[in-house]
Amino acid sequence: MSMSSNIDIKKTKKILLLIKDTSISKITVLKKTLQSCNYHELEYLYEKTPNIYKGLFSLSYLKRKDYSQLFKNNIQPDSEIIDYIGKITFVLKHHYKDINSYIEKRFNIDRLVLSGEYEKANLLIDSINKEISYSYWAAAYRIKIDRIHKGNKTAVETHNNIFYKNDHYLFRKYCNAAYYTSSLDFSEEIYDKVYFSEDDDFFKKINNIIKSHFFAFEGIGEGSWVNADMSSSIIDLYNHFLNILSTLSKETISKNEFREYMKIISEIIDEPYIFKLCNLWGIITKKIYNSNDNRIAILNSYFAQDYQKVIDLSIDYLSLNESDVEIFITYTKSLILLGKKTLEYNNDGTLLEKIKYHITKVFEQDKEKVYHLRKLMGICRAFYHIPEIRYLFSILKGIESNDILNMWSNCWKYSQYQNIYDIVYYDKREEKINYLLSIGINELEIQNLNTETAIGKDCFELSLGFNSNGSKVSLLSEKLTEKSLIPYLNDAAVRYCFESYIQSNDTNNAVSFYVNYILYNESLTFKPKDSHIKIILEEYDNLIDIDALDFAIFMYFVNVDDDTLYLAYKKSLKILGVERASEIKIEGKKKIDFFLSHIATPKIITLHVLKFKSVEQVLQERLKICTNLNNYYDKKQFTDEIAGIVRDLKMLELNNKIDDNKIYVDVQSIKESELTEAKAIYKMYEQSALDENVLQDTIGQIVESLKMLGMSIDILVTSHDKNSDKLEYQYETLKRMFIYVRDQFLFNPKSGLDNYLSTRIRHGTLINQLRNHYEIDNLITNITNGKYISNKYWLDYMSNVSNSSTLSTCDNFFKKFAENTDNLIFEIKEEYVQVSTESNKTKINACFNYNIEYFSPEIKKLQKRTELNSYDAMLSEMINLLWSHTDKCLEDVKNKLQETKQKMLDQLHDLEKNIITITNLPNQVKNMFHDTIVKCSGEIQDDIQVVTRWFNRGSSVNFDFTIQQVIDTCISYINNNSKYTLKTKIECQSTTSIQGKYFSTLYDMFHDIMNNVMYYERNKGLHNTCSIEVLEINNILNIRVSNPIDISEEGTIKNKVKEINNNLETLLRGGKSRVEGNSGCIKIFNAVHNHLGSNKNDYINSVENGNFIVKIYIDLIALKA
Amino acid sequence: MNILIVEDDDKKRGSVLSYLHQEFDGLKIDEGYSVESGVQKAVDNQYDLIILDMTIPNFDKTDGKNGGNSYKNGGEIIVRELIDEDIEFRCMVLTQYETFNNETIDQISNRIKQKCGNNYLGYVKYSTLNNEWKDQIKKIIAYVKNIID
Repeated sequence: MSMSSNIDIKKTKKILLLIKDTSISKITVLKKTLQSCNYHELEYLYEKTPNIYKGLFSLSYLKRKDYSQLFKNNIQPDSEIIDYIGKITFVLKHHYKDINSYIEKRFNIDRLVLSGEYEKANLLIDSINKEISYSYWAAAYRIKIDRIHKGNKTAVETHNNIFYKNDHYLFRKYCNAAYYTSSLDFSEEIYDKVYFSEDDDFFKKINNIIKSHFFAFEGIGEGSWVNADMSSSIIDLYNHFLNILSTLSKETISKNEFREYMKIISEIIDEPYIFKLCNLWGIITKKIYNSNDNRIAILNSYFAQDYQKVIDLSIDYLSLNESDVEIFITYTKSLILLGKKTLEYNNDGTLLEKIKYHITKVFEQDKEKVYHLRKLMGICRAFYHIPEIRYLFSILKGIESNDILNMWSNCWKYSQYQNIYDIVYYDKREEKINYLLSIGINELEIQNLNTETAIGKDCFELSLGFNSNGSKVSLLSEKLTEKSLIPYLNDAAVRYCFESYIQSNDTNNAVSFYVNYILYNESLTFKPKDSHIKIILEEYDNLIDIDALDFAIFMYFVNVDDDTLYLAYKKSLKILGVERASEIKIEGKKKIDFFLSHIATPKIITLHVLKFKSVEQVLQERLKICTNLNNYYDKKQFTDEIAGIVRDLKMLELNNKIDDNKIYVDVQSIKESELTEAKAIYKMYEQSALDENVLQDTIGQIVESLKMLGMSIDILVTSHDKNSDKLEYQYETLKRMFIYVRDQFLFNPKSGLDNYLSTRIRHGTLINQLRNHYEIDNLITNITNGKYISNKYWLDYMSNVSNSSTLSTCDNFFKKFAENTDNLIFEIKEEYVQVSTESNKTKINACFNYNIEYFSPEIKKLQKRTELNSYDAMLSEMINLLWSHTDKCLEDVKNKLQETKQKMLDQLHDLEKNIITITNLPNQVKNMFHDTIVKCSGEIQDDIQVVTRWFNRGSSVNFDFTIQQVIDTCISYINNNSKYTLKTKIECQSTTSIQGKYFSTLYDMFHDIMNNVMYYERNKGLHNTCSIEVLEINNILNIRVSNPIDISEEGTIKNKVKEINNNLETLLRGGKSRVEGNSGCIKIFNAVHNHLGSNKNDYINSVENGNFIVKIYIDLIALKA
Repeated sequence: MNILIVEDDDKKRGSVLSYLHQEFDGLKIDEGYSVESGVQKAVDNQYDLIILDMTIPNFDKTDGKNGGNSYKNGGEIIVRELIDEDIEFRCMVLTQYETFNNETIDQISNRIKQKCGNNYLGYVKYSTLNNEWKDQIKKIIAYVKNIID
């Protein structure tokens, strides 16, 4: 079609008349002109327009003098894409000098920004603004430069300065988008901040505009929204025109008008990218573009697999063109392929240095490849407007896809210069060959592309579509085995092979191939698709002749659930002919050793319940496996695991000791030092027996004497009565002794039963054990200012479906439930686990009731037992009596616990019933609440079982332990029984083995200290780290526990500490260790001074430098095993 | 009729046992309290019906001992283990929970059905708030009795 046939003469004449009509706004005429006229008509009009209006009709307004002018005149013709490009052609034709000047400066700015020369870059941007046009490109670039150069604060200031220069919503949105996309750590949350919500088509269109400008990396396509750039600036118009070129459909490209426009543009604009596209599209242009021969030589050499030549040429080229990312990538790959060392780049340096650092890691297939890819993509998204960066992003997307056939499919769109890899643009082999010939590749080299052996180390032949027919599995497999592929392609090659096997229903080989590769290549990041994993798992049971080990290892790598992996583990044991993994012989076979180290782990072994009956047995099995592996390999990985298991086993043992040794009386200590009075009473008892015998003899002699004198003696010398009196006296004496011993047994502040009940059960432990699950399940709240706070957790769930009256009722149900539950727990603590006697009867419901009336018959029996003829023998029997009675008391406590358990379960039942009855909860919430109740119900039963176990007499102490084990056990116990987790930092240098009999005491001591820390932290809502240091110096254990305190309370705490320190001994002697609600200091004091074998021990509390500090010194000689 | 009930919750187990003894004559009921004791009992003995709790610990927690891991789908784990050991068995699930690690009982039940076929007699939801579970268990046991007879 000729130029003249594209012009509607009638229309143009009309417009010319309008131009000349001074009463009509020229902007209105311009809008109409732009809307209705094509390129040729615009050219015609321009020719015919009076000179005075030529500037306007060449759209000179697009050369903006300030940011405030952008989008102001709202000229946005609604054209189809080809027509729109025609208008752009018109603009470019009349402003090509400015555009070419911009191109040159833009190239320099991009180079300066990548090299970190931000000030120079800003100066150039300013010169573009002033000499050519302001633009949103410049605005965005300034914000991004300031973000990377000077930080977020400056970026915000720059954003605000520019933002307020123009009140157009699109300009302001562009400023926002520029700021949010300036971070090198891209997050998808940005989309919510930038995009409008798509209430209608208008906002959808706006979002497309925003996407095409700031999120083009997500992919853009043709659309009429491009017209918005007509009201921006000449620079923005041009930039966006470049961006959309590669998105045009082949249909558009084939249109004559389009091709004509591109020809015109290519001949006036000095943009190598336009020239390259014209060549690709077969648009013949008169432009002679002087491409860099060195550049072409480098890329051609790489294609010909002459990597040394690539390296030699690249060194010089990159010294002058350091920001040429395509050549840098080619150079790096050549170094890797020749096994040469790549350079070290500075990740903290300029953008370019960061890019080079991460690119090197990616292509070397570093173990952290995924991380480096992510970092690079963040940089690319932030600076996507730079052509080099756009190209880099397309390469990274290809690598990320792991699709070896299509990895380079998009690179033609983004590489700025014509080169050999542009052949990916063509679908047909003939087209590719023609193109190669057109750019000077010789025929012989092209022929070589046809053969299998020319796959090459970079597989570009595959990617470029030369050899996409037929399976390449065996060839690629071979190359993977030989490690002859460039490392970054390994994932893609593995994926190709694996999926080829799956597609041909060869599951066995797919699994074996994957396992054989991944076992020897830690850096493999490829993971099979879920759909393929599903196919394999579904077929697993039915497959015959499978390699069970391969399947087990495959399942491990694709993260199947534990019970599936367990069945594979079992199958593997069967194939290996053993019943347990610890029976497998280690012979240095990779798969077996992997199976043992990674699959036969505690979480899998524990499911093997027919062989392993307890947690301890599972750990023992794992210990054997690790020992076997370590004996063969002697690796730190195994010795560390062995040490961990040994520690865990010890902790399990010690945890049992804690529960089994709560009921205790230090009878030995009482016997040694507290029973002087008892001895004195026994002496009186002994004496009273002798006195009675003397009296008996004297009366008898008088009666005999009187009989011999012939006197009938009717004197009723009722020795019976006298005996009675004497016996009563004896009994009372023995009873007194018993009471004394009993009271020491029960109430001795250092060693008595009540002291241990207080220390080991009542002080914190019982409440924590019984209350913690209620708290974790959010069923119970705490008291503030004397009242239970509302259960916000559940009420929030109910608030959407309940009116305020119902919510208030629910609130009351929860509060009542909390109160009743706490009452039950406190009842156990305050009423049942208490000691009472006839003279100490404040706790009338005490299960440990040692009222003397229970013992009277037994004391009488003791009195008659003539073999108890020494203090020690009598004392021993009295102690036995007391223990025997204690056993009955313990049974009483257990019965009470069962009753309490039932009440707790009933309360849970009632709570659920009450809540469900009055609310109309949606199923999801109802189910959640129900499941929580069920869970809590199970936990209560478990907790009561645990507590019941405490009420058994202490068991054997034939074991050793270290202080580290005490600390670990204590912290583990506290954290397992509390919603709040204690944070600790432990440095323990003591490894001395301590006798088992001191375990409970040391445990009690640490428990009280850590409990205090936990309560403090929890009540203050803090999360400080408590520091525990243990040193051994000259056989003295130096323990230091330190926890930060609220500075405002330092004075108060200091005074309290002083008061306690000065009175500990007195408080202990006064039996104040029984007083609940105190800090436990007295108990700790008691433990340190009286129950750890030496009077050299010491215990000090202090406040120093904002920390509460506990220092304990213990003589190790007395404790050593 | 020989029944094995695998249930760690004392209260629930007690309630079910009490009902079964009250409702049926001639039942011989064994108890398991975990995956371990459930599997071991099922392997060592022959049962006409195994009543499985779904959420159970790996090992028995008697006397407050460490029961190891607790599995939301412990009942399913028992089923898979018995199938792997080639044990013939008939089972049903009796559970209190509504959800199991983001799965529903229907999802787990379907998987068990796929593995056990007609030997799986479905699930019953136990609740302290109603007695519907009793009727449902009654039907299943009556059905099993019929098969045995």
